[in-house]
Amino acid sequence: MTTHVTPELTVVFTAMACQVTLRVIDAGPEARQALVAARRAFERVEAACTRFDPGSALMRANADGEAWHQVPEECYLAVAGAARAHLETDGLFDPRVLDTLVALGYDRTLPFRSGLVRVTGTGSPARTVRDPWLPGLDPRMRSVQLGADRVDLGGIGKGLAVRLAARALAGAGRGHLIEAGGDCHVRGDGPDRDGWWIGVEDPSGGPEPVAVLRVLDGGCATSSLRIRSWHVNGRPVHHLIDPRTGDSAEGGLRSVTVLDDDPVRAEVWSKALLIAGRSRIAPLATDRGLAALWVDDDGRIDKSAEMASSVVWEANDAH
Amino acid sequence: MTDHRGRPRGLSTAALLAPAVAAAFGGSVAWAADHPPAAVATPKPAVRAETGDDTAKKIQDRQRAVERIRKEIASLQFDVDQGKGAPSRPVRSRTDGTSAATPRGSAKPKPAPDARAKTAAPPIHATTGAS
Repeated sequence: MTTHVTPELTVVFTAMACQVTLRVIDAGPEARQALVAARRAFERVEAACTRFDPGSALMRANADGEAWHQVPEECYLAVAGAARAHLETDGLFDPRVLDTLVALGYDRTLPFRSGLVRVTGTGSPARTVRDPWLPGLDPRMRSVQLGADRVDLGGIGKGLAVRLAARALAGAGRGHLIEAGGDCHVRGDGPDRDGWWIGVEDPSGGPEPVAVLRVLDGGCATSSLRIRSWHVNGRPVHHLIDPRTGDSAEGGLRSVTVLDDDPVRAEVWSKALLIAGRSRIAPLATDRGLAALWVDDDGRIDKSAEMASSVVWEANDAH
Repeated sequence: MTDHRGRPRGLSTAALLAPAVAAAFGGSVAWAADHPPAAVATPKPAVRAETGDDTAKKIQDRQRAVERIRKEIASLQFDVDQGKGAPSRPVRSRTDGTSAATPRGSAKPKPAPDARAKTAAPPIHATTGAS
């Protein structure tokens, strides 16, 4: 008996406001079904966790944060993951930023890719209270209680979608690549059997990457100010909110890339390190054993010791 | 992220534009010959003393331009060495419409791990960045 192997299968679609590419190499007989399941993972997470649909599970739970809400598995996993991330990052990751984003005018999908976006809003921080976030979680009933402050699960939702899609593709072939905006996951030793080579985008928009990483198995995420930045009432702001100030993070970093086995953790820490800022990122990454690479406001590129072995090429600096 | 396909397109555009620019310039010269300048005083252009900061910035900008061009040449040389004028596989467009990652071909050089760039970025399979 022979096993049918297709050299490569690729699916490209749009979900969670970005283009998603799913690629399976040396695809086995179950690969097509696996690709369908992986795509469905993105669709389910988006439907459950979007903040732009008042009927989504997240927004229904946000509407009455003191009540318990039974939610789809994807929403439950995202809330549970966010709660864990909030504790692990000592509060640097805090999903209670929805009202701040709305105050900054980001209350709808904005056309970031079509040029400078100018909006109006109150422009003032909506929340600067520093109490820890302790949402109610009932795994048996798959219910959540979000609390008084409305929650945004955008970033961690995408990391979760990548994680679930990676599980769906696990046995689909010799390896896979999932590319969803800033978030990636790869498995196997790549098409040329020397790993997957991932370019880290220049956060200034330059045509060359600032670095190229070689990854065999695991996730990769980048938080960057390049696209989701806009002007509210004439003031420049961006989507990465520092929970300590309730305003756009101003820590002197333009982008942070993190490698981790779990794409959710990579996503969480890329954001948390960017919020931590230039002065804290190196010791924090070392302390937590994180593989991180960052570009600061002056275009300087730096990385943690854990990241060094994954960097196969690095620019002199970003422009 | 090097858009290899963009370069030939850019060159073609320049080639197409060149005659039009020349024609427009020629037309301007012809028009000017028939129209003597009006007898009005031309204001003296404002001159601003160039500071040391300005000069340093200019030098820095030019150094960066040189570096960019050097990388571009290295990238083109890489393609030539591989015996191809363009990537072997189609280059995908990124969602923001900018140039996409250069797909990795089957043959490629092996840069030393963790080496600071002396050459153009090697071909890549995917890009991580803003979304």
